[in-house]
Amino acid sequence: MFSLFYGLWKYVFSKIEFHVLILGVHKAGKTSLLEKLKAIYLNSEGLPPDRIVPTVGLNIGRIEVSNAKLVLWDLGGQVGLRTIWEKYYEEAHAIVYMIDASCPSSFEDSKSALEKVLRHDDSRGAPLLILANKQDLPDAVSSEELARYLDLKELGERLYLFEAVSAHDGMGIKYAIEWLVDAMERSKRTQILRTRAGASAAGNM
Amino acid sequence: MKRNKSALAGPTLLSANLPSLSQFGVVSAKNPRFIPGSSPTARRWRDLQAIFFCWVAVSLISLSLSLVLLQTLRRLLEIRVAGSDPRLAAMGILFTRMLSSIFGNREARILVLGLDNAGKTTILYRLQMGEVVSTIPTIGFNVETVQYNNIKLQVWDLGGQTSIRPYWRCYFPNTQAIIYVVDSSDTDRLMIAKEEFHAILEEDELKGSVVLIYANKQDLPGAIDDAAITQALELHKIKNRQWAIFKTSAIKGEGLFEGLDWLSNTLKSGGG
Repeated sequence: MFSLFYGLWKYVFSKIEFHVLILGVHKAGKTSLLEKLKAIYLNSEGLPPDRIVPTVGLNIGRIEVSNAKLVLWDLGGQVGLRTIWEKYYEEAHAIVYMIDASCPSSFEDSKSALEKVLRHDDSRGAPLLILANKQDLPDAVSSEELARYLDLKELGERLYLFEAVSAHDGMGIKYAIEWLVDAMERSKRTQILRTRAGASAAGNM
Repeated sequence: MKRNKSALAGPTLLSANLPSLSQFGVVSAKNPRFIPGSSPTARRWRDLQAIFFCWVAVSLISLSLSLVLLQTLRRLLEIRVAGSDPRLAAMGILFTRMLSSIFGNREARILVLGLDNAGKTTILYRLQMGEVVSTIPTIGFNVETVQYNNIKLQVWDLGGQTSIRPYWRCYFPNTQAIIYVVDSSDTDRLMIAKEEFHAILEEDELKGSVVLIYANKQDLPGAIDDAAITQALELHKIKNRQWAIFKTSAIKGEGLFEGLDWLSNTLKSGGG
């Protein structure tokens, strides 16, 4: 009886789960974004910005947006740690790439790292959300300028969006995440991942 | 008819009402003398019907109410212990954990694991007393309480020799975090360190715990850095829990508290 109700309950309330990878170079604000998202969507406090230490490893956040569940993977952005990024592409439904828009000296590094991400086979077709972060700072460039600077050629058929946000005060984040959920629901990659997950689940049985 | 009713009553949450219902149990349908038109029996039949429908309505309402309640409860629990399986069976533990995270002293139980001679005991006493003590290989365990960032950490340092590694599992229940210590200069045994590490991660009892890796002995020549340790330990295979790696030197006291900073922040924000 318990399992019947548990099953029913799960059926009624369970949602699709998406894996989202948050990438970007060191100090772009990836963990701040993660904490802000937790604050917005979970109504929990999140870590205050001054308590955030550089990530060397993986931070995980689970949030619910409209009718989707997002599992956010926030990876460290230091040069030595970027080698592990690619190990996560295969299972990611979408990629969020963060750039510190107030720090033009980091653009070159950001650009080359992003191109490397896009060239990788395992990330093919994953919707890409590029966030020009730190808009609360006075000298931050706009998302259009950033798009012009990055001048990405490898986007192809990929769904993508440039968006100006501030992980500090939350500007633009809600819109960007809603776009991301919508893009993931539409993307072919989601279906491919789902069939692959189904096949492996069947294989395990 | 009576049996039919009890079958209906089964799934609802109001099944406790059943005995009171069964006092109306002599249902007229069972009665061979029952004639639909005859007035006293018909009235009684109508009353019964009314009572029955009321009872069904009440149980339906309470059922839906309890579903809503369950969902809110689940939301609450997910905020508190994000990442753990929201299965009802585990609710008791989750609930206690939630209560203890709201009220009063935050305490966490932490295991320090790693191969022998990785520096676990030195790290433990460096954290606790702030000085380097000379240690002998641990057979058994050392346990100390470390107060840090408003969290009381109960740190268990378990002996790491091959023969006593199987006993690690005795300490796994109720562990919120694992500190895995690797000797970064001992490149020959990184393979074994990796295997032991992944064996630990597969333990059911450690499903919800966060993992902190200390790439220790960075002061020694020939020690490899955190990125190389990450590769060697295949940390990227960890997908469902938070982890972090820090370069440390227990002798010099470098990196240990940065790691503990991360650990206390992660434990405070719910872990998992």
